[in-house]
Amino acid sequence: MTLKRVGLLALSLLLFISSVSCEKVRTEYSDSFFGTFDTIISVTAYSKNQSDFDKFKEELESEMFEYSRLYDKYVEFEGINNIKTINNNAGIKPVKVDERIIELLEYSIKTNKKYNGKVNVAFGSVLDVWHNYREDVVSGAVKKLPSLEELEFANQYTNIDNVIINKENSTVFIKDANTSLDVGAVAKGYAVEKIADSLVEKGYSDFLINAGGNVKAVGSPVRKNAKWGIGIQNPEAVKDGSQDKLVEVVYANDISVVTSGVYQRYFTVEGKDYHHIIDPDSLYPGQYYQSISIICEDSALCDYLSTNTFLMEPIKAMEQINSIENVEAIFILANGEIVYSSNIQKYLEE
Amino acid sequence: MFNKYDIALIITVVAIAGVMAFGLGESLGSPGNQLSISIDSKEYAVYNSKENQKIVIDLEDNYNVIELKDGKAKMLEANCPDGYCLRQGPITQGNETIVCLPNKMIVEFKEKQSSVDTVVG
Repeated sequence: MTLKRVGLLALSLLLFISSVSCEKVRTEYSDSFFGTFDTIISVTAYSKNQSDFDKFKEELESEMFEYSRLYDKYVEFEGINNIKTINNNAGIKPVKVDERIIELLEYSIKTNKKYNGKVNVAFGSVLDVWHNYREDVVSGAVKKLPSLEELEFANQYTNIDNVIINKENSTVFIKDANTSLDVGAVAKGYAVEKIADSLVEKGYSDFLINAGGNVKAVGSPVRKNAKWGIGIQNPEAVKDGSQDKLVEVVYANDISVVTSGVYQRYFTVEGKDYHHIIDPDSLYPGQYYQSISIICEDSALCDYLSTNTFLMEPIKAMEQINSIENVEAIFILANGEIVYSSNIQKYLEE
Repeated sequence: MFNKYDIALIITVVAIAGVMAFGLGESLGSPGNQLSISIDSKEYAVYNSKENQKIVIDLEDNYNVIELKDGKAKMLEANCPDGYCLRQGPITQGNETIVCLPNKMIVEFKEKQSSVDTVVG
């Protein structure tokens, strides 16, 4: 080997190493923040440096903040009309709102019609009864459940046809004074989907958002196994900590996983837990499952389906999942049995 | 055989490769057995998870007591209204967290299970 060759070899090695190192130059950053959607938002992204990541996180946080205020039904904010403003004006007058509210309502109503489902955004009056009892029991003010009479009374005012959406004027009017909106079953997933899209449009890639039970993973992690790993919580372990914490890990790229579970929001009366996913037929919490995790690319659809299937009996619920293309699910039944959708296997391999 | 420039070049290449390998290795390395407690997204304190202890956090609005025992962490006391954090865990490794939402507190081990990026549920 001549000296020149050695030199060339060394140079090309140098170039090779530096080109490899350029690809590896992005590193993993993680952070979390509170104050939106009544939950904790965790984020992981592969960024060039800390300041790029901080910029990304700020964009995410400010968008989450906006959506969270728009979809809030408990608090009004100066200068914006939100879901609470619409509810406050029920039976009074149409309210001019941001198009992001119109789009969410239209999406929810359309999707629920399409799947002949149980997720009604006009179910606010019944959900309010449960919400108030949960707050009161948790704070120690009372120690009882709502009565069936109370729930049935509220259930008279849940007709979606009383919600009048005028897209042209960008207004929403609830015709009946006792009817109210609750977008809790879909809002977070819908917002996360829209925000992820907008971040991608701004040029960001390879990030994961976990908004309290609602995961959206874009692109892929920069590492050997280039799939995101999303662990599915074991509901039993949340409550007593004695068992394996994860029942499964979902591995995928460009994916959303949304879990609805009995342990997320609940209260306890006489030793029995009552969770927050209310069946529109019984008017009591759904009884079939401990948790349902839906896996598909669209976080809004995942969020909708996780609530809707939670209120369906397992055989019918799984039929629904298996009938939708590119949607998979993991059901953890009330008795602990785990049921998988038919094409789940591709997501369970690293 | 080699003149001094060749040798310098080879040394440079090897040195750069070494630095790269070291840098890469370090970025993938584990932060050890540390329990991290953060409040409102800022790291409040880090504890050696090998040491059994009761960690009392008594701030203006927050009161939380975390027990660290045999490498497991558990929330023992909290002044939050819902008490959900008291019913979580004990946690034993990264990716598992105890969150006290009202007090904006996160308790987690720094060491992550490499293939799991997040936990949903």
